[in-house]
Amino acid sequence: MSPTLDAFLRSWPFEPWLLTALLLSAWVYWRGWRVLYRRDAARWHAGHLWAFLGGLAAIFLALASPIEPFAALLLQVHMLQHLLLSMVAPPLLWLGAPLFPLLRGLPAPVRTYWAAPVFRSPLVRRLFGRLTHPGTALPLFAAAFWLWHVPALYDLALRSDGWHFVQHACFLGTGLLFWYPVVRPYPSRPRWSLWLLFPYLIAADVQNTILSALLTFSSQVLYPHYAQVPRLGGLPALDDQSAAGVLMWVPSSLAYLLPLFGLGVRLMSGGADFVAGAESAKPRGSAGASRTQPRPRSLRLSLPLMTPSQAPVPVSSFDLLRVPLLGRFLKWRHARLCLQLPLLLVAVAVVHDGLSGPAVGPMNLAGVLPWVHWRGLLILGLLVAGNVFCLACPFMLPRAIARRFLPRGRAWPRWLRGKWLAIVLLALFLWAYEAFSLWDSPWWTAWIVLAYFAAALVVDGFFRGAAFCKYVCPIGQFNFVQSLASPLEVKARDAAVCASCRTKDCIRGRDGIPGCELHLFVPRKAGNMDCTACLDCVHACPHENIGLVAAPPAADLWHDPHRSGVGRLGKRPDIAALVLLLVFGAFANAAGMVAPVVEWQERLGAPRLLTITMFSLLALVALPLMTAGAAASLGRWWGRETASLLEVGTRYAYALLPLGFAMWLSHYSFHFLSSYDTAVPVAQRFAADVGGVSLGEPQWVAACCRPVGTWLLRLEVLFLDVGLLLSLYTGYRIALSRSPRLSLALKALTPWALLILLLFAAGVWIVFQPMQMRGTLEG
Amino acid sequence: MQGTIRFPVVCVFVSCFMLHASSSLRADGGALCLLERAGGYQVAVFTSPTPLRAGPVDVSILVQDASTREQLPGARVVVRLRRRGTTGPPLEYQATTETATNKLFHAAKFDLPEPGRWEVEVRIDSPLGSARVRCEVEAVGPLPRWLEVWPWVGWPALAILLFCVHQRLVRRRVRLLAPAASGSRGEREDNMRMDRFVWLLLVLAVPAVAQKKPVDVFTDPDKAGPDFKTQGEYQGDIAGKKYGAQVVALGDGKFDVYFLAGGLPGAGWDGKTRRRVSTTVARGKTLFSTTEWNGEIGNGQLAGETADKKLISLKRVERKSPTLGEKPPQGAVVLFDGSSADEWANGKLVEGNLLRWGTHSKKGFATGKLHVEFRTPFQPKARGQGRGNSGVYIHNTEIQVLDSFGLTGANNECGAFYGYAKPVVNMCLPPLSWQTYDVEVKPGSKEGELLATVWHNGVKVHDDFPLKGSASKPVSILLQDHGNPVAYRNIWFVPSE
Ligand code: SF4
Ligand code: SF4
Repeated sequence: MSPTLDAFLRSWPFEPWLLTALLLSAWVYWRGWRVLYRRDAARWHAGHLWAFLGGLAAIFLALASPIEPFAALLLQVHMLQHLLLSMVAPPLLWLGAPLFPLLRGLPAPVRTYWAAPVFRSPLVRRLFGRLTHPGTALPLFAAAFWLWHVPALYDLALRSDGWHFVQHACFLGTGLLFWYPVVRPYPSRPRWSLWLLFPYLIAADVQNTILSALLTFSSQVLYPHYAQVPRLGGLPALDDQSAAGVLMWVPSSLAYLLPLFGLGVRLMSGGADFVAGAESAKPRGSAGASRTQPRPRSLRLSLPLMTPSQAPVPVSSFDLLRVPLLGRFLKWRHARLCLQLPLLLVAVAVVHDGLSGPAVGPMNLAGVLPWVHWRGLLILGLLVAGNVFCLACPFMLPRAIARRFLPRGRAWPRWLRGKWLAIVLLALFLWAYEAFSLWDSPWWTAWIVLAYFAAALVVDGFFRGAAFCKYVCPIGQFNFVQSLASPLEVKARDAAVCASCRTKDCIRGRDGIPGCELHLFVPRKAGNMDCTACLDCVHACPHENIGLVAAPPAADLWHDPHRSGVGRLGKRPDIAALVLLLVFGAFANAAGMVAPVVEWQERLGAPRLLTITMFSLLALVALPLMTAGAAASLGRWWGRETASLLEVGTRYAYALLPLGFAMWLSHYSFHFLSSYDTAVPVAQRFAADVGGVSLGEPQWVAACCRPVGTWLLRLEVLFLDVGLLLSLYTGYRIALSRSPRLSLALKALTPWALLILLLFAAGVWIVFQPMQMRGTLEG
Repeated sequence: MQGTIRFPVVCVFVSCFMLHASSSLRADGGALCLLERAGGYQVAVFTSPTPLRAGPVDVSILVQDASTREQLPGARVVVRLRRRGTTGPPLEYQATTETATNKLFHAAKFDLPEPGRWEVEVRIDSPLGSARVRCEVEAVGPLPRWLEVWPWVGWPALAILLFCVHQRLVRRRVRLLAPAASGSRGEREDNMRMDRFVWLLLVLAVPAVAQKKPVDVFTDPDKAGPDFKTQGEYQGDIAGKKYGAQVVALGDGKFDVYFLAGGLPGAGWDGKTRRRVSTTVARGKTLFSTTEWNGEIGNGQLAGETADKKLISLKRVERKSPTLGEKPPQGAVVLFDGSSADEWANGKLVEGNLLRWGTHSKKGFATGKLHVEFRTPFQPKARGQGRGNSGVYIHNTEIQVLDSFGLTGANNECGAFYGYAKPVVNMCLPPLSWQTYDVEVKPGSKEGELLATVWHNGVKVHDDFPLKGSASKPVSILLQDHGNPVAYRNIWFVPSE
C-alpha cells in the first residue's frame, strides 16, 4: 500500500460532540422505531431504520472520517465531503421517515410536554411548510451551493474552523430542505402538484451542471488555498480541481435524475391522484418515493404520538428500596444502626485526635475529616440521593441509649416551635467558622463535636419526639433545606393502600418500632422538609407501602400544598428565613476563602474578629433582608399582588434554594475532589500515634495542593448553571401559581430573577478566584 | 432499572464525557508557515490556531520525498522554537504522526509560553539524510480567561431562550384549544410531566471547551527573559539622601518599584518610609514617573531626577546572605549537601545537585540549630500565595517560603511563621537568589513549649517565638509542596546537647 493511502486510512479525527449527537439520535430513533414496528410492521419496515442509520453514517463519514482531515489537502476529497452532506445524508434521513420514530423514542414526558407542543404549533408547521415548498427549497439550496463556491468564501471556510462549521451546516440544512419535497417522508402531505417536481429536479440539475463545468474546465486554480498546500503524490492542483468538478457533475446528476425517472414511471402508470393533498382519501400507488405515504387518516388520528396520551400511563418511578441488595439492606430494621456505628467510631477518633493530636489542622483527623470529607460527602449525598447524613447520624446513638434513663416526657416549649432557634445557631456557627478559623483548629472542632453529642443527649433526654433534630440541630436544618432539591423522597407508594389502612403505624409505631418522631404522616407528607430519612416509617408500615421514591429535584417547591408536620411552606416565614440564610451563607462561606475577599478584609485594617463579624452581619443578615425585601416589594407592586409583603417574600424565597444548593455543592465538592486524599497521611499518623500501628510513612506532600484540573472548574460552573436554571424555573412556577395572567406573573418574577442572576454572577466570580486550600497544608 | 431512570443515567454519562472533552485543536490544518524543498525533502509546516496565540498550539509538518512526493513515515522530526531576540536554549518538541489527526503529518502539540515573534526551526532525519528548515510566526496574546470558558457560563442563556420560545408555543396552543382550560386536569397532568423532566433538558445541554492557561515559571536566570535582568535590588542616592529600591517584576515589561528611605531592608532602611511607583514602557524603555521623581530603569541603573533637578542614581546590587554557603560545624547532621537526597523521604534531586521541594527529612529533630538555603523561582505573572510558594516546617509549624520580594512582610509571607507571626522586617531577596534560614530551637519555660529564633538572610526576624512541641520529641523537617519549583540546598542541623 502506498504510504499516503495508508496514512489516509489511519486518519480518524475524534469528534466527541458529533459522535454524541449522532449516537443519541440513532438511539432515540431506534427506541421509537421499535415501538412502531411492533405496532405496524408493514409500514415501519426495517428499510426505514437502515435508511435513517445510513443517513447518520453519511454525516459521520463526512465529518469524522479520514475525509475530514484530507479535505484541506485535496479539493476532490472536500467535494466528496460536501456531496455526502448535501446529496447523500439528507435523502437517506428522510427515507427513514424520522418524525414519528424520533418523537416516539423520546421519554414520554419529554415528548408530551416539551416536543409535542412545538410540532403541533401552527406557527412551526406553517414555517416548515413554507421552507420545504419547492419554490423556497430550490433557491435556498442553489444559493448555498453557489455562494460557498465563491473563492473568497471557500477560502474563508478553509481558514477558520468556525466558518467551516457554518459551511457544513448550510450544506446539510439546505440539503434537508431540498430533498424533503422529493422524498415526502411520512406524514408529509404536500398541497402542491407532484408535476412541480419535474422542473424542480431539472432546474437543480442544470445549476449543478453549470457549476461543475466551471470547475472541470477552468484553466486556473480557483481556490488559492489548494495552490499553496503541498501536493499529494504530485497531483497538480488543476487536475485535482477538474476531478472535483467531475465528481460533482456525474453522481449529482444521477441523484437528481433517478427520482425524476421514478416519478415518470408512476405518472405513466396513470397515477390519477397526483394532486396530492391532505384530504385525499384514495389509497396511493406504491412506486418510487411515495411508498412512505400514509394510508388515509384524519389529521388528529395521524398524530397519536403527539397528543397527550388519552389514558395517562402512570410513570413507574424509581424506588431505592426496590433496588436489589441495597433496598433489602435499608429495609432491614437495624440498617440505621449499621450505618451509625462506623460514623460514631470515626467521631470518637476525631474527638480524640482533636484534643490530643497535633494542633496543625491538615495533620489532624479533626482538621481533615469533618471539613474536607464529611462536608463533601454530605453534599454529594444530597445531590445523588437525599438526606443521607441524618440517616447515619452518630449523634443519635448515645442519645438512644441515654433515653432509657432520662425522663424525656416533656413537650418542646411552644414558643420555640419553629426554626428561629436553629436559624440563630446556624448563623452563629457560620460566623464562628470564619472568625475562629474552625477548619484550622482541631481542638475547637473536637469540642464542637462533643457539644453536639451533649446537646442531643440533653434535649432529647428531657423532651418528647425528635425535638433536637426538628428544632435545634443546625446540620439537620441544612440537610432538610437542601434535600428539598434532592432526587429521592420518603413517600407512600400507593395512595389507595393508605386510604384503606386502619392502623396508621407509620405515625403511631408498632412492635417497638417508633412511628415518625418528627410528626410527618407519610400519606400527607410532601417533600423532604423535616425528614431525617430515618426510615422508621418504612419499618413500621405493615403494608410495605413506603419507598424512597425518585422525584424531580426542587419540584417540591413548585407547589404549595399543606404538608404534614410542616404546613404550607408559603406560610412559614421561619423556614423561608432559614432558606435565605443558607443561600446567602453558601455564597458568604465560599467568598470568605477566595483571595480577593480575604485581601479586602485585610486591607480594611480593623482587627480580624471585628472584620469577620461585620462581614458576617452584612452577608448573613443585612444582604438577605435587604435584597429579598426589595425583590418582594417590587414584585408585589409590579405583579399587583394582594397578599402581604411577608407572604410574598416567604413564598418566593424558596426559588433561591436551588442556586444556594449549587453554590454549596460547587464549593464543598471542590474541596473534596481536589483534596480527598489528605485523609491518607493523617490516618497513617493517627494510627502510628494512637495505636502504634504502622500504616506506612505519612507522605505529607500528598496533603497539599496539586494543580487542579480544568474539569473541576467546569464542573463547578456546571453546578452553578444547573442551579441557576432550576432557580429561575422554580421562580417561574411559583409566579404562575400565584397569578392568573402570564404577564403579571412575569412582572412579579422579574425582581427575583434579577436577584438570582446576581447571585449566579457572584458564584461564577467566586469559583474563578484562586481558592485557599483549606484542610490542606497551606501557606 | 425502570425506564424512568435509564434516560437520566444516559444524560449523566454524556455530561461526564463532555466535561473531559478537551479543546480540539485541528491538527494539520491551520495556517501554512512554510513550504520548501530542503535536502531530498519537500517540507510544509502548518501552525494552528489561526491566528496563532500563546497557549496551546499545534505545529504540523508534512515531510515528502521531493522526487516522488510520497510521504516519509519513518522520518524523525523535531521542532524548535525561540523567541526572536532572545538567547538561551530554545523550546524543543518531537513531532510525531501519533499526535497528528492526519497521519500524513508529524505534529507537536504544546503550550507556547508567550506572545511575540517566534522563530520555528524544523529538523528532519531519515535515511534520505538530514535537513533543516526555518520560518517565523507571530503569536498574539492568549485568549482571555472569560473567553476560554464562556460556553460553560453562557449556555444557560441559550437554554432560557429556548424555554421562552417553547413556553410561547405551548401557551398559544393552550389558549387556542381550550380557553378555559387553566387548572383543568389536562393541564395539571402536563405540569406534572413538565416537573418530572425539566431537569433532563438541563443536563443535556452541556457545552464546549476551555483551554489551559500558559504558565510562566523560570528557574534558570538565562531563560528568564529581559524582565528578570531589570528586577532586583538597587542602592544609591536620591537628592543626596541614601535610598534603596526594590524593583518587582509583574510580567509583560511591567514593574513595581518600592523606594525605601535609608537603604535596603536590613541595610539601612528606616523601617517606615516606603513608596510605591509603577513603571510604564515607552519606546522600549522602562520609565517611572511621579509628580516629584522621573527616571528610567535599565542596564543595571535606576537613574533620573527629582522635580527640583536633583539627581536620582541607584545601581543594581545583588546581596548575599552572610550565612550563605556556611559549612556544617562539628557535630552537625548534614541533611543535604548536593550529593544525594537519601536523608529525605522520597527526596529527589533537581538540576543535578539541588533538593526538590515537597519532601520531609527521615530523621526527626527536637532542639538545636537548623540551616537551610532556598531559591524561589521567577514567576513574574503570579501573585500572592501563588508566587514561589513553599515552606519549611519545624515542629509542624511553617516558616513560610514565598517570593514576597518587595512586599510588606505580612504573616503569610516569606520569613513569617505562617498565620501566626510576621517577620520583624521583610528580608526576602529577589526571585532566583539563594536565601538562607537559620533557625535556633531551644526548650521553653513550660513543658510542651519550645522557643524558636529565626534569621532570614542573616537578619533576625523572630526572637523566641513559642512553638508547640517538646525537647524530648523529635519531629521531622518538612519542605512543603505548593506546586511551585522552589529548590533547596546546603541543609544541616546541629542538635543541642
Ligand atoms: S404508610 Fe403504611 S402505615 Fe402509613 S398510612 Fe400508609 S399504609 Fe398505613
Ligand atoms: S417520614 Fe419520619 S419516620 Fe419516615 S423517614 Fe422521614 S423522619 Fe423518618
